Amino acid sequence: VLLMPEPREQVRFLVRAAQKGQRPAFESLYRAFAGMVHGVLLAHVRYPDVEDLMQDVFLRAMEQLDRLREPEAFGGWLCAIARRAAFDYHRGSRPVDELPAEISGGDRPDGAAFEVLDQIRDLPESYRETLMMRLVEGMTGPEIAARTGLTPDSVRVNLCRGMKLLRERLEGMQ
Amino acid sequence: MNERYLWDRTGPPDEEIAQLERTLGSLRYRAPVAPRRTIRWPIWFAAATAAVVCVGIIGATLARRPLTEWRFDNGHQIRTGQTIETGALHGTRIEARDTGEVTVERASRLRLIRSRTGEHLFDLKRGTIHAFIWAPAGQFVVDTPSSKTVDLGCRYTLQVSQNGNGLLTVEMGLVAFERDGAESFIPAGASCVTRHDRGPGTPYFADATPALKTALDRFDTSGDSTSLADALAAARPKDALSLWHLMTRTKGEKRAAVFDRMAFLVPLPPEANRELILRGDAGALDATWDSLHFGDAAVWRKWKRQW
Repeated sequence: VLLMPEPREQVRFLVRAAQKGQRPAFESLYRAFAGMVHGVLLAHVRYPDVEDLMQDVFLRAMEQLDRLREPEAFGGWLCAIARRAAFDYHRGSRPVDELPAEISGGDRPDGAAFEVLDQIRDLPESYRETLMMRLVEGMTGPEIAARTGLTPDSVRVNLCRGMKLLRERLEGMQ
Repeated sequence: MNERYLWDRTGPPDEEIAQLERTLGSLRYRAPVAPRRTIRWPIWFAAATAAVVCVGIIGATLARRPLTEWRFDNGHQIRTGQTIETGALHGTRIEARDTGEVTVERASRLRLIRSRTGEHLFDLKRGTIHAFIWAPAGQFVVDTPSSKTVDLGCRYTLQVSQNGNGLLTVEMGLVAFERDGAESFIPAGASCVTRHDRGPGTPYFADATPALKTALDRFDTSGDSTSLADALAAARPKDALSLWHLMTRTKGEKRAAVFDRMAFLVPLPPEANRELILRGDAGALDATWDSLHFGDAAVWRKWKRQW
């Protein structure tokens, strides 16, 4: 199914179809919301672990989907599952040995991206998630509002304030 | 900071935000692509495997109910060639698990022409159906007396009157109407009339002004010279949907007038070169359509080749 920019009704129908056991409908939901979940997880979890956790999030969502009474709330509900998965990840994660400093090799080609990522992760949670969706996942403000269930005003405030803070921190790094 | 660009990426780009987008874009979620493996097997091995697979497929077919079967809510199957004819008081509903569901309104006549994996063809002679399709684009097709309706991933309502004219209203996704090379693409929120003697009309959004709807109706039926001018005058930026279709149905000065009005209302990509458009260049027309963000023209071209 080709998913166009989702009006709420489209999500509602896909959720209802998925609740009836229609696997393709759930796959469509996966494709539509994967970027959002990726952004939320990136705000909380190390990049290499995000993809594994994404599978976990959608598996949980599939198992619990019949408990979702308001299909329109799917996006916000999925965000909550992603945050919970990130929380569980941190609670259950094992300590990792520090790498020795003398390992040779050049800088990672995407080193700059990881530096900015770290700065975004230091921001307050609401700014962090919204900025990840906007700057990493390439979603626009209206798309973020439609997916997450946040009001457009909240998203706009999160974006503007988060961007202002991020800019200050990046300037401080230089 | 350019807040407009930060909000919806419109307006002049904010260089710092654009730089961050470029830097962080490498970490964006990318849907995994299934790997393709090419292995050369000996011919005898391939033949033996094919034989085993054939036996397996026949066995599995006999043992399991295919997902492509269309069934009523009570479980009864509709077979190829059968017609659903609803009475004056009640409609019905059918579903194929891997394809979608179709609600047939009262006083309707719908025939199943063909149904197999990846291809479902119905014929709506009269009445109304509501289709909600979750199969991949291009697999669910409904013939009407005046046009072929091709689902490109969507939910829609299709009505056919006693005289064979039809009206398509799309609630989500994208649907194509086609007859004898004449095409109409109808995105969510839009409708399109199809006439038994002329085929697909010009699509329009439900919230278009009455002036535009009237002008398009006149253009589709009589093609009188003032109807085009009236349609252009009544068009809003959103009505670029209708203007794009008008562009494909006009030539010479009329097409130039449509192009100029469209270029005034919406930003067009560099590929939408005026000279190319006036020559009817398919690539330029497709690029213009793609820039409207109603759907990808390539999807349509791909599926159309398979008929």
